[in-house]
Amino acid sequence: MRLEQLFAAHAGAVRAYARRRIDPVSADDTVSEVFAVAWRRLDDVPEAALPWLLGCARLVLAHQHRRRQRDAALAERLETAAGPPPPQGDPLLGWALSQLRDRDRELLLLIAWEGLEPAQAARALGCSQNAVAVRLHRARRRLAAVLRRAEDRMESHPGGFRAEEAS
Amino acid sequence: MSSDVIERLRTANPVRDCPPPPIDAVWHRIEDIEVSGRRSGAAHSGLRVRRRPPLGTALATLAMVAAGAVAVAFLALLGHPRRPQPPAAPAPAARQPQASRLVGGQPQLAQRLRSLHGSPVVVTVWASWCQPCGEDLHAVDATVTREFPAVAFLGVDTIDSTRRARAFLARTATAFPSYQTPMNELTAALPGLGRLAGLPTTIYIDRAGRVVHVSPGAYASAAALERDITTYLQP
Repeated sequence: MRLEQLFAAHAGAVRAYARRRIDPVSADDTVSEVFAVAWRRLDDVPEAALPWLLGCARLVLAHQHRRRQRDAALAERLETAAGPPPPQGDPLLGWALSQLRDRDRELLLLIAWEGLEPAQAARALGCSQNAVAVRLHRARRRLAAVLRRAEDRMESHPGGFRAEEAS
Repeated sequence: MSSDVIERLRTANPVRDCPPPPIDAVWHRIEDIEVSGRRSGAAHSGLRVRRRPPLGTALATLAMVAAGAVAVAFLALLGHPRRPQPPAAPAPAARQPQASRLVGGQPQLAQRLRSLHGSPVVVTVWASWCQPCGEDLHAVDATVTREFPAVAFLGVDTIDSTRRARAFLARTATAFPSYQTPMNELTAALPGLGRLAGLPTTIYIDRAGRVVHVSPGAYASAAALERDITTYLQP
C-alpha cells in the first residue's frame, strides 16, 4: 500500500523537519496532518516524494502559526509548551537565523538540516531552480553578514552585547 | 565565506535522526477527516498543497460531495436495502446483483441488518487502502457464499473515499454488496462490537442480531473462514 510505503520511507524525515521548527507534540500532529493530506492526494505525490511532503509540512506549520496568532487562548497554552531545540552548540547561530527573513531561513535550513539538494528545495518551496539558486546565494551572504557583525561586536564588547546593536 | 555558513548550520543541526512516529496517528487523523467531515484548519491548509486555486478546490469538493449524495440517493431508490428479505433465507449473496458494488451508506446498512434479523450474518469490514483486505475479500468468494445459503454476507467499507472504494471494487470482485460506513457509526450500529483492532475485520452476527465473534485480520484461506462460520454461526 502506497501510503504505508511513503510513511515508512519518509515519516522520520518529516518528523525531524517539524521537530526542528516546533515543539515535539505539535511536530507529531504535523506529521499526521502531512500524511493525511498525502493520503487524500496520493495521485499527486510524485515519485520523489520527500520535497513534496516537506513542502506540505511547511504549509501545515505556517497554518498552525497563523491560527496561534488568531487564537489568543491557544497561543497562551502553546507558549508554555517547549519550543524546538536551538541550534546545537552555537547560540549565536540561533539568534542570527532569527534575523533572517522567513523564506531565506527556510531555504538555508532545507539545505543544511534537511539535506536537500537545491533542485529538491525548489520543489519543496514551489519555485524554479533558477530562483532558488539566486535566493540561496543571497541568503548565505545575508546570514554570513549577520554573523560577522555579531562576532565583531562580541570582540569589541567582551562583556556581552545587546542583540539590536549587532544588526 | 558564505559556504562556511551552510557547514556551520549543518554542524549545529539540533535534530539529527528521528524515528518515525507510529502510523496509527495518521489513520486516526484520516478517520477524523473522513468520518465526520471534521477538518481542522490545518488539514484545510494542507489540502491547498493541491496547487489549485482554493475556489477550484472548494468547487471540486462540493461536486464530489454532491455526486456522492446523488449516487447514494439513486442506489437507495433502486430499493435493494429497502426490500425486506424473508428472515430465514436471505438470497445467496453471490446472486445479488449488487455483489461487488457500494450499495449505500450507514442508514442502508442499518436497514439491511434489521431486515436480516433472524439470519446469521458475516460482515467483512474493509478499506481500499488496506492491502490485506484484498486477500480477505477473495476468501469470501462465491464458493463460500454458496456453501452457506442461509448466511448473509455483506461488506462495510470504512475510513475511505467513495472514489477509491469504487476503484478498489472494480479491481477486487467481491461476492457481496458493501455499505460505506464511518467507523464510529459502525461501532454504534453493532452493540457489543468494541473498537476494531484493524482492517480487515470479520464480524459474525447470530440469528438474534448479536455480535458473537470478531475476527481481526485477513483469512489465509476459505477453509479457515468456513471453519469460523460453522463454529460461531452454526448455520
